Amino acid sequence: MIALIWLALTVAAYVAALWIARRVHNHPLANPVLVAAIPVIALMLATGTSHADYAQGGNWLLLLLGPATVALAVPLYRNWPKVRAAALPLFLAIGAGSITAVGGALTLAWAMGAETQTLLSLAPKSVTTPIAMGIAQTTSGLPSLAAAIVIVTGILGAIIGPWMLARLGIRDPKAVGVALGTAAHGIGTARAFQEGEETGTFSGVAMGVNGIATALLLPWLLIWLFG
Amino acid sequence: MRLLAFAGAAAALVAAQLVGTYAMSALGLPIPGAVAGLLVLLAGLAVLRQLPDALDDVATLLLRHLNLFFVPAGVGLMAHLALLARDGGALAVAITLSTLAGLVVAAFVFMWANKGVPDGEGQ
Repeated sequence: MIALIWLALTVAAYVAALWIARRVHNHPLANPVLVAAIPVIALMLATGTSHADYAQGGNWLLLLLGPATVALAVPLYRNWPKVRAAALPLFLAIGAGSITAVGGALTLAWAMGAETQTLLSLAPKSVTTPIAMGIAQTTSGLPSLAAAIVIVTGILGAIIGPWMLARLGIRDPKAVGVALGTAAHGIGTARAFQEGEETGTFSGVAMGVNGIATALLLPWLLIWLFG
Repeated sequence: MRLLAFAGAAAALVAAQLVGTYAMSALGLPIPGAVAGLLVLLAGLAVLRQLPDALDDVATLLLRHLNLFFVPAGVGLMAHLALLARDGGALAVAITLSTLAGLVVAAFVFMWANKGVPDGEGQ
């Protein structure tokens, strides 16, 4: 019963966040994940609700993330000629962006004195939560810290990404999509779909390819670096 | 009838995820079932050579509200604040700068490599 109330509150907060986003013409700062999470967290604090109690309701939505990810196949199928024509640039961009994000994060955090366990949890920050948690697990990082870092990365990328790319004069929907999907996984892809189907499709491809490549390669790199 | 087609489309998405999950665990690959399921559905559509209307509608609806499914994860950050505060400064700087760098590099490499590549439109 309580779980259902939190589920309903989460959906209500999301609907309100969408309304706000529309009022400001989908400005990236009005990120629906962030805007919806804030009142829910405030209510939990006000009512003394633990995260475990919340999760009993909230996890129903998390469950839908699976089929929603599978659904990315539909715009991909519809835009297949465009994606195939840009296959090589896509792979190069995803590879370069992914290596930059992982290498940059590790180097910066290491230089600032972060512990090894933190570094191992930080490395998979650009990929979707289940992959990041899996990598943290196999490399003896902290899966829950990895998950939190992934979400922060996604929200940050979705908020700053479109703004910064526009500042740099990059408006090509394909390029914006590839960047969001490579650096900010599903939350970046959700943002990309707010911008348009082409942006969203390229973001989805980048998210998938980066996720698969990271899942297969990053554990080896980390074991070699820190093992 | 329309409702039935919707339910069928939703079932197809779940089925693709299940097939993906079982395939990955059988192969021992660390790839989530949903990501593998995306490939399963794409292969299915390629064989079918057409996109059923109901599947298009359900997928479009889910993707339009992709943000909704991340809200619980955003709320979950609350539970992890103490963890994030560990090495807090280093983490904040590393996450911010590396995310921005990754975005910019991916976008520029794509623009550079995609120069002169036809759009794929009208193929």
